[in-house]
Amino acid sequence: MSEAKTNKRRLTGLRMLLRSRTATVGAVILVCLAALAAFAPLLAPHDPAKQDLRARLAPPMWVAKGTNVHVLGTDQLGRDILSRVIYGTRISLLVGVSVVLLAGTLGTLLGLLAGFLGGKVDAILMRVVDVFLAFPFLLLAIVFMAMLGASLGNIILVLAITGWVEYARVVRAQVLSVRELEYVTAARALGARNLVIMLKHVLPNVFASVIVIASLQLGTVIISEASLTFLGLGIPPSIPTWGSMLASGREYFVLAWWLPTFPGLAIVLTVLAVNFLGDWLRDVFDPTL
Amino acid sequence: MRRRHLILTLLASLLLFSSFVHAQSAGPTTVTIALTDDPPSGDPHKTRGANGGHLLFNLFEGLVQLSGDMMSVTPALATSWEQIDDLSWSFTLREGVTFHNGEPFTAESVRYSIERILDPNAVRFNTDFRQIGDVDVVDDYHVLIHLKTPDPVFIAKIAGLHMVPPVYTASVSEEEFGTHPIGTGPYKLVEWVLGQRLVLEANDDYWNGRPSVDRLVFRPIPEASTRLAELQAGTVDIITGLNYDAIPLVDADPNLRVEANSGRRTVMMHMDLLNGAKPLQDVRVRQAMSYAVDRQLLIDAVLNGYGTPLATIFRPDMAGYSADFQPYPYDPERAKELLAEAGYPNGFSIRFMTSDGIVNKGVEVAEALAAMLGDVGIKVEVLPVALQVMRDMYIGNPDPAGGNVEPLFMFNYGAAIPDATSPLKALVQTGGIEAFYNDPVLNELVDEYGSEVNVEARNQVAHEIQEKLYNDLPVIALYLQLDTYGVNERLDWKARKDEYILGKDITLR
Repeated sequence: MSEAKTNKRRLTGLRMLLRSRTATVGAVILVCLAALAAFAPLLAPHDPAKQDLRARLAPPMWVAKGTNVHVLGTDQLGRDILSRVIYGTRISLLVGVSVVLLAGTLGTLLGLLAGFLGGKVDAILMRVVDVFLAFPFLLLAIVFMAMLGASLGNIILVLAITGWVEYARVVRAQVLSVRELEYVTAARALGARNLVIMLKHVLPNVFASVIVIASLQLGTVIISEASLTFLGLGIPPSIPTWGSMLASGREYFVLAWWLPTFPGLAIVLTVLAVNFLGDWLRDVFDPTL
Repeated sequence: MRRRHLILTLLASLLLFSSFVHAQSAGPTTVTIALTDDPPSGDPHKTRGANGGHLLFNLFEGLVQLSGDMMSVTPALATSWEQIDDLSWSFTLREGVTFHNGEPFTAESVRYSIERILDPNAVRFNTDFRQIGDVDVVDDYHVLIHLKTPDPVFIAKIAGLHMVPPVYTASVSEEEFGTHPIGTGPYKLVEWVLGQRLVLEANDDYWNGRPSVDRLVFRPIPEASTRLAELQAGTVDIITGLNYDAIPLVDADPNLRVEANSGRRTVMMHMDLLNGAKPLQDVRVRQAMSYAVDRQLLIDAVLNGYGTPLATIFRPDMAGYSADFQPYPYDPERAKELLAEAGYPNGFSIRFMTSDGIVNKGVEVAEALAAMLGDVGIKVEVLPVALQVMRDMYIGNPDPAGGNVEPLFMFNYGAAIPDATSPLKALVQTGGIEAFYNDPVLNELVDEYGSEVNVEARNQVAHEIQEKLYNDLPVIALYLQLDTYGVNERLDWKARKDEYILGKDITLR
């Protein structure tokens, strides 16, 4: 009985998704990217780190002098750009998803605590949030990265540390109204403990907003990772990422346009897809947001 | 009638305006030069490096000057000189020369400048001049310079010993002098906006005649592609650090041309062998690294051919250079054998610090080297940083031998004269400002090379030093890097080997 019900809900979800053309496009792109990331070793024609100095700056195959050995050409060290873009998907998605999960969990929990408990806890947490919001997000991330040093773990940590505040604020505001609702009072009257009320009764009712923020944040995080890596503060250059390809390719923009263009396109495409989906999610969950 | 009046007025004002515009364009001639960075300081006794030199050698002069190919010495602030014996030199100074602030240049200026550069508390960049002892002021225009040890290339070295005005220099703080330098050179500094521009104006009172270009503007533009775009747009006239890959593009442009010098900078993998990573301490590992590098491929592919492979840090034009030592051949098999002999059959991991400013294409070259070393099993993680980070860590570090540096790093040395004394003292002699090595025998050989006046004997010592450098590899020399410039065709200008862009060398066509 209940299984049939969820099945039905899922079905309507898919139908609603298909009704929105942009959301469908977004979803399809994201699924493709996820597949690229998952099967990168099978799909990439070359080792993304393999240099061939004799074949450096080879143009894409459809340009004069291009060959089908390197479909999107090679970079300044003769590495295959297509393979690097494919492997770069892994980093972008890994960083994006991990940051959203970490920041989302942290922000939601703290927002829940602040909103539900109120008083001193609320005051302190919200002042912390204010402090974080006082700085531009990327500036804060740059400061932290400069202190911690460039690595994959650090960039996830730093983006999560700077990204949780959005969740905390929105969740707290929602909790403030939800906790006054009658079913919460009823639960309390029945003797439920705070923790149970928070997790079982309040959390599910603020979750929709969390999903919406998460979907929109995913795009921002991917861009932030690329920006930090572009500035040399993100992921070490031994790992192929879109940001670092863009950074090293910009020196060659006039000489070999394909170096920065393809990773740039990949970033645009991914963020566009995420935003399409995010917009749609927002419309579905909360038309008033 | 009134309308005609109006039209006439308009025409007249138009004519007036156009003549005004015309007058302006025929006004002072300006040449704009794009540098890779701001000069570190305007104090000639405190700064080094190419970007510093562009500023200093336009503002200041030494007693003598070097030709653009570094091979001949001609009079500058001294009109003649004489070597009295191995340890003393007498100079006759040019009369009637004044500094940009009007202070007269006299023998006292010479004494003050030499004492200033030798003050151990005030300055560090005096490796080339530590052999200088007392300076005797004979009269206003005659000085006697005494050396503590003989120096076979003393006269060429002092082309880089710039003269500063004693009264002004003593009256301002060191910092103030660095931002408001005063010299005797053909140009004077009129404006310095950090990160934006340096404006130099021709010195009307220059002893050798006012230079023909009225204004030199230096603009720090760190990105090579931006420099190139500005050159193409005509907003700058000369760019330094022209990307080797952009050479065909500049060649094809009828308004632009490529200039290259014959190369002053030797590029190397430098190492901290006093405290650094343990594998590097084994000479077999260093030899393996040298065998693992394909120098010719690096030059052909990454530098577009603008380089010459090197066996040691001796440039072919340096005194005592011996062609007996040829660059290590590319031999990855031999490299693997040596690694196995040293106890690293599976290689080891190491970090490799580099920067795009430390050598041309610093990051790209390091990544290519990392892949070559990777092929023989040495896992190299390239660590690209801003040039300033490396400058602070290696050049400005008060205790470089203290171990607070990355053990493997990209480096270059651009000796200002065709002599190896200064790179040897800086890079391999214990105590040198960029030295991380301790070989007592080599230390003594370097001192001998620095003070031996007999050419035969000196070449003998040079040969012994090169043998040691080649076999023991205190640094792994890679290649001599040629510097490439993009130049607007409206200028007559040739690149100098000493890599400085001097206003007095430029004329407009």
